[in-house]
Amino acid sequence: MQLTRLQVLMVSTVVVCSIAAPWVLPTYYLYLLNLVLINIILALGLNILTGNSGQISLCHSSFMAIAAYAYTILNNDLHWPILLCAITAVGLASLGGALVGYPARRLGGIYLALATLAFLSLTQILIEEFPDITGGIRGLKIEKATFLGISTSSESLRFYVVAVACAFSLYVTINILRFPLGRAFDAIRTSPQAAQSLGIPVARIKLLAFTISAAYAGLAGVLFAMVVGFIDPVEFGVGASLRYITFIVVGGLGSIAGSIIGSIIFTLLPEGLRGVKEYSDLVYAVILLLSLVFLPNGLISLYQKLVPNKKIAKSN
Amino acid sequence: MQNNLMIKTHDLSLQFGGLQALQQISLEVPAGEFRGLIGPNGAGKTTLINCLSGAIQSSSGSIVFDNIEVTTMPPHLISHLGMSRSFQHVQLFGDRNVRDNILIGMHRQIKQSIAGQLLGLASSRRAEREAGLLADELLTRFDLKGIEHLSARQLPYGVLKRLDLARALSARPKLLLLDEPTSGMSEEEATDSISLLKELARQDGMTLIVIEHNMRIMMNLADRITVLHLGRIIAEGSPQEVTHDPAAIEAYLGEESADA
Repeated sequence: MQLTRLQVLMVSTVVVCSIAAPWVLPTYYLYLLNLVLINIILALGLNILTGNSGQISLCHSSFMAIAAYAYTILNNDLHWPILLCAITAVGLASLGGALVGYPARRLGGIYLALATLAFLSLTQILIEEFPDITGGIRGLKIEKATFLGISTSSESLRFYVVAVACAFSLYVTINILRFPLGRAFDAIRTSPQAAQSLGIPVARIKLLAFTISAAYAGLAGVLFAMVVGFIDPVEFGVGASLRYITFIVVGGLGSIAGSIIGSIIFTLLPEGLRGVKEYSDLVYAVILLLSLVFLPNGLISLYQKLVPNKKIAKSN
Repeated sequence: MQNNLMIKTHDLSLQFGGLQALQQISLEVPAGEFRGLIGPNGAGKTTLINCLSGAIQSSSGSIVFDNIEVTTMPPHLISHLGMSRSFQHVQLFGDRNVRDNILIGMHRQIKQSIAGQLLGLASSRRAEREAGLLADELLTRFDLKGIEHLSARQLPYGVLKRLDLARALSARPKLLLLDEPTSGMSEEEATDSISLLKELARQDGMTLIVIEHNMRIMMNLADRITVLHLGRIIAEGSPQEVTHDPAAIEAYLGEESADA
């Protein structure tokens, strides 16, 4: 992959800003930035599933919950090293993804939406029914641990972990989309028959998309538990899943930039609307409707519309 | 010489409810042959191709492809054995660019581990570069160079047809099934593309089964022609034989000349 000078400049700016962030930003803003990055990870994964492979999921918050609870329980009760907790948690989340992906091979559209919704209810019930392990509706507090000799209560450590995880997710997503796997995802969405006749095992690719996408959600779940320090089932309800769908639809389906923009806007928006709290739902809804009506291909299509114009302007 | 048959069907039948779409089709196409498939609308040509490629399961009968029984095999496995097809209504991947469309066609040849792809390991990059070279070669051959970065959705129909052909060939199949590969092309474009196809097929020893309405092209390029009518084979032979076959004339050719 050849980077242009502009891209190198952008990447290095982001890296420098990230290194400086914990020293410059006040605690609350750093916390928000963490949430933005976590949501980006989740949106990248969801967009691979929905935007590229064309399968809807209303249970991404469940994959997040599976990983968040697994991480917390392994950390609190078994005191495993946190890297091991995290890897196991992500593994369990993607196992959950495979579980949902298995019937998804034969389900499409509304039926898949309902199946994933059922999976979401199931995880919610399981969390609430085993309060001895999960804390039930009262939730769980994540106990402190150490990573590389530094306590997880250190804000800068948490931020760096989240930032590295986000960068890693971005790198993996770019790879997926430029290699045969990403092409196969796009192929099974646009024309399953043609994909099949070209030797692409459609069922297997669908399952793979779910498994990989759930791993992203799992990673987001682990980081969420670490950053917020407290988890309860309400956090991972259907509202959360719908919000993630909003991220990628408003940002732009099947686009990495779309996932990023959508996550940034919809994570920061509620904060920006604190002053007009009673109207915040209204503003949220208006933005959603406006973008669906005027930019059905997401905010990213705005950029795509502007760029060719620039090129034409230059040649003139 | 049983071994030289690329595809052989025995009593292949297909029923859609009460409709007998295919009736006891016994087709034998030797390796390396350019077989034309003609017949009036609704004769079952596309259905036959759908059956051969596994997209539709036949109700009875058997299909043997290159000495392997493929009657109940799923399409992607049949594809892995070396069969490619094109579609009557082009089924390209609109969001992806021209080059990616070719690369998707090469999916079964590009061997890469999933971990290698996720992490962008050197082995995956190398495999990708090698596939890219083959793709570029095809782009040049089909005169698609220069538009390889346009997304398929932006292209006119004639170019899409050419891309569809290039994509079907990209997997280097042993048997290529083409469903009206030249519809929407001008007479000249059509002749060029089919001659190119025939030349490529000869180089690789590829077998072709082509549905085509343009009889002039068929006469010049097909080795043998099979005529279908109402789901049955009513005539088969060299282009000259078929044009003089009374049943074929009645069902299809007569209609054609009456139109012209």
